[in-house]
Amino acid sequence: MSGTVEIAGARFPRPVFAASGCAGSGRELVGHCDLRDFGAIITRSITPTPRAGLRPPRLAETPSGLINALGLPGPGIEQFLAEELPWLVDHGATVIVSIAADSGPDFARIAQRLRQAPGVAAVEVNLSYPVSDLARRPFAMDPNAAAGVVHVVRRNTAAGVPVFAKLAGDTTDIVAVARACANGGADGLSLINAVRGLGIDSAAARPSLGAAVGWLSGPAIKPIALRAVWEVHAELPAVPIIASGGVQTGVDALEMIMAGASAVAVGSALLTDPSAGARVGRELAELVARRGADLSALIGCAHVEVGS
Amino acid sequence: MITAGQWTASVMARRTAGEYSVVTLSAAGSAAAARPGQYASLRVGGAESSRLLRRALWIREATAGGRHGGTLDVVADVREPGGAWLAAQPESAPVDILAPLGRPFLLPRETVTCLLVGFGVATAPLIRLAEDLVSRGSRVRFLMLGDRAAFGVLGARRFSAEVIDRAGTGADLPQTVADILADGADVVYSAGSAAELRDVAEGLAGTQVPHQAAIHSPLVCGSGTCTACAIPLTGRDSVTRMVRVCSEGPVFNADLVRWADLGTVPGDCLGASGEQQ
Repeated sequence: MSGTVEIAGARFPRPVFAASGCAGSGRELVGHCDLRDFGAIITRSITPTPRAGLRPPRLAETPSGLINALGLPGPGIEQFLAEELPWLVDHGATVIVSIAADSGPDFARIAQRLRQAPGVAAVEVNLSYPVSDLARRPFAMDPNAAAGVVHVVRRNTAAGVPVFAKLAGDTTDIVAVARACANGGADGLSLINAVRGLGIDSAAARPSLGAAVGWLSGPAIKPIALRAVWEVHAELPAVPIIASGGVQTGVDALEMIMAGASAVAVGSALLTDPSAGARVGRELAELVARRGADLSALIGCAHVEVGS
Repeated sequence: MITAGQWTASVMARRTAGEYSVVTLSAAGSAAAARPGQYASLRVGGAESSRLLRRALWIREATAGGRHGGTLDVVADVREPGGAWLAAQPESAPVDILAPLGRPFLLPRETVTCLLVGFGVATAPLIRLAEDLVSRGSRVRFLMLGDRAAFGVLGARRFSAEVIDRAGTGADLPQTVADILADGADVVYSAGSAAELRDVAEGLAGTQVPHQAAIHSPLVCGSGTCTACAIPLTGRDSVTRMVRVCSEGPVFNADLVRWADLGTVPGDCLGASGEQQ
């Protein structure tokens, strides 16, 4: 069985995680699954202050996927520390806290607050912020900007708590951003965030989402995620990767691992099947066992004889 | 509160009339104890479908016992591709279902006169409510509005209530509600789209009549995880927050809903900022 995985010096009880934003506060999944089914719950992105989110419609169906413009609704760091984090820890979850802010000092402040909190297994830096704001480029689109934020968070995070940089799947040169983040102190990478997309409601002659531009996720982006994992692992094999993007089955998870991921996060699948995390974990364990291999031996194993 | 379950149901029967289909599904255990106002969330299109989002459908009827351990009747809109898929499933076809979900209507402790205001297909949860109220001795007046085609397939006339049929009329809705209310009602229960319920709330403005409203809107995850269905609601602490229809509703105390601000994030909402409008 695929049990404990070690990533960037931290140990996680299973290789299948819940992707940021897709497990709510954790409470919503109780009754549908056991939070310990996940190697880690990556929280929704925690921001400096509470956020109400964007105007509706916030989500729409697209072929093999969905687009959302939610606007990072959430409680803000103080309420998260007071209520959500202790609750998750009490319920046995291994917690990776995703954080988002629109400046280096705000990232530093959140990281410092997390430093004092028990139960933070790792920090994931959401570099796709600011969300749905076309006037400003997200950090993830620029290697220097991304590395600057990662550096600030790493400096303000306890030693032994890994910092993962979550990158955008639709940046021009993801290897350049990945390398810059690794040089900036990232202990690992999360690949990929949802990619920007748009829907049009032809009956209403307006965008399907209230914020117009949104984020495409689900199986539609799995090949984009695989490509990102593949290219980054080929160039930076020592940097561990948590892969996400359209993982719905154990086969999808295995493909990500073979492309170079050390762990896999289930995202949109949790919105359509709250028990998907346990199922993907079970399916992956069976597939790994069938190959008679240890999961760690399969990481990046598809990188052979390509192009020959 | 009944805990929701997830199971693979079998299609046992279906009846389609016009744009709506009532589909009977096998129901496990506590699901058959679903209360009026609760809903079911179904996967559509089968395992290999490219349509990923679940469909939230009203529970028209829930029965316990029997050969299959209970059944749920859900109401699908066949104009929508997911509803069309469900209505076309043959008997014994498997369907992934989560139910019962959401907060149900609260029943009055005493026998009172209740005005029920239902719009089209959203009348479904009110029919069971009417039956419960009548069986507890309350008097039920049932105002039916919206799409008349829905009432037939829902079996909306088979119970002992005073039915006021204004379906398909272009009447001034707030005034209609106010006029009917003037003939007597201690409590109002309504179900319809946000725009329809806003008119009902307007018709009740200035009265002290308690009003519980079940909002009919697309609900994506059904668990509260995705937050796509959030609406502005003012809490008893006078703070407006975005709350999720799927998990904190679909039945709300109508006095707390910011009806005029639905479709927006009001500027005074907790966590709102200029860029989010």
